[in-house]
Amino acid sequence: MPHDSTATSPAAPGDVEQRLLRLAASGDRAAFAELYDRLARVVHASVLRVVRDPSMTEEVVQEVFVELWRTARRHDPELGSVRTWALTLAHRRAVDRVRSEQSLRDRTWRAGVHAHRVPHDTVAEHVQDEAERTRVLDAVAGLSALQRQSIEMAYLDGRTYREVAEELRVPVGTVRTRMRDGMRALRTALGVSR
Amino acid sequence: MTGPDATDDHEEVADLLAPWALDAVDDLERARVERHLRSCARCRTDAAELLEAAALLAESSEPAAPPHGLRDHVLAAIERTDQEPRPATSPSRDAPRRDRRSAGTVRTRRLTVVLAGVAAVLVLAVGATATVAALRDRLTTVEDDLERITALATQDTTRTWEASVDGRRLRVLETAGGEGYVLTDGLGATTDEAWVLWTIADGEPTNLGRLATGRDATTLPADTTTTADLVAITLEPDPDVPGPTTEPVVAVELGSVRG
Repeated sequence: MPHDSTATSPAAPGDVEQRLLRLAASGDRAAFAELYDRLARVVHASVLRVVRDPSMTEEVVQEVFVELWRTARRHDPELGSVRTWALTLAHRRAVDRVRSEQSLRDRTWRAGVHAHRVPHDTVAEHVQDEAERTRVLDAVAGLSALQRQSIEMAYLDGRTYREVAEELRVPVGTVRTRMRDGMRALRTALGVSR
Repeated sequence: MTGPDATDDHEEVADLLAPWALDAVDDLERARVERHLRSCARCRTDAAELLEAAALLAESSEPAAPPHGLRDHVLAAIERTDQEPRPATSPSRDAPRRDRRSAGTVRTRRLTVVLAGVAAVLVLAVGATATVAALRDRLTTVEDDLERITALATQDTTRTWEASVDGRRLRVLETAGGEGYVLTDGLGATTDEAWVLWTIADGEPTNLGRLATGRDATTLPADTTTTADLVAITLEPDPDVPGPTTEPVVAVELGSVRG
């Protein structure tokens, strides 16, 4: 697909990221640095939300980007954007980290102190992120309470669906169904159906 | 067992896709889902959509800029990191799958447990995968490893070494082909330190990287079992140190052959 070199019209962010990753895949470290600049913020925010500890978050974010670099040549654009890829990678690493730390940390306590640790210094720089964030939060708020609960307990706390079922005292099959329906509803609400 | 287990598994795995996309499955379920995805186009489509939805959730995170130093750390780290080769243009996902169990039945419960652990760990070890394409490529590797380790566990182990201290277990296995594996178990959770695996050859330590808490499996570099004197685990504040800074919590001397 060698049609990118003469692009003149403003490209969609996804296209730019795709192009940067392709350059990175050929060993272009400057392109990778630019990709980092585009994705680091959302990757960092999403990892911090799960891991909650700033220094551990930093380690995970670094792992995520090294992994992106290492596997850059293996990304298949047909199957998802670079951004989705990075965020999937980030969440999985974050959950792995949380699970491995779980027995030593009182997660409730961490949830409590979390709000005081998140840096807020540069929020205004990224109005566009903020608009997207509001849109997603609205979509999440539009889910049924049960769908939202199941998804949030898994996604934010790193719990398995079995743990969610136990906590909510509902059958595991019900939790799986809620998760699936909730995820589909989110896609529909955010207009990303294919 | 005849026929691909993928189709037998479809309904149950389809049911696990949403929890899988949310990383809300355990390691074994994760391995099972990703195995199935390799051979099921329908589930791959669903999986891609669910991952996309999960990524949207990430977009709702409260903004938090990464610390400035992190960029330099990342760029320095990739200077030291090689890129994996491009995948083959046509992965073997549509080819008939071989029945891996026909090569030799796993004989004992212990081995079954080992394999289950290894399967889970290998999936973790090959890293978090994001797109289904990446998954597919990775799974080839995982299955290759699984096949090797199955062979190893059933018939192919030539030597094993083992030590256990305070419930922390370290096993080194060597196959007829001379490949070495390390299986670890019982490493507890840590806060600011990491479990690190070492080999010592001629007094020179080699850092083989962090070990996961609980069970983990690592492939040793070529010829380790014949050249190294010692395999050991230490608890390190900095997992990247070139040499151990603390005493081993458990170690095996490769001279002392057990079986």
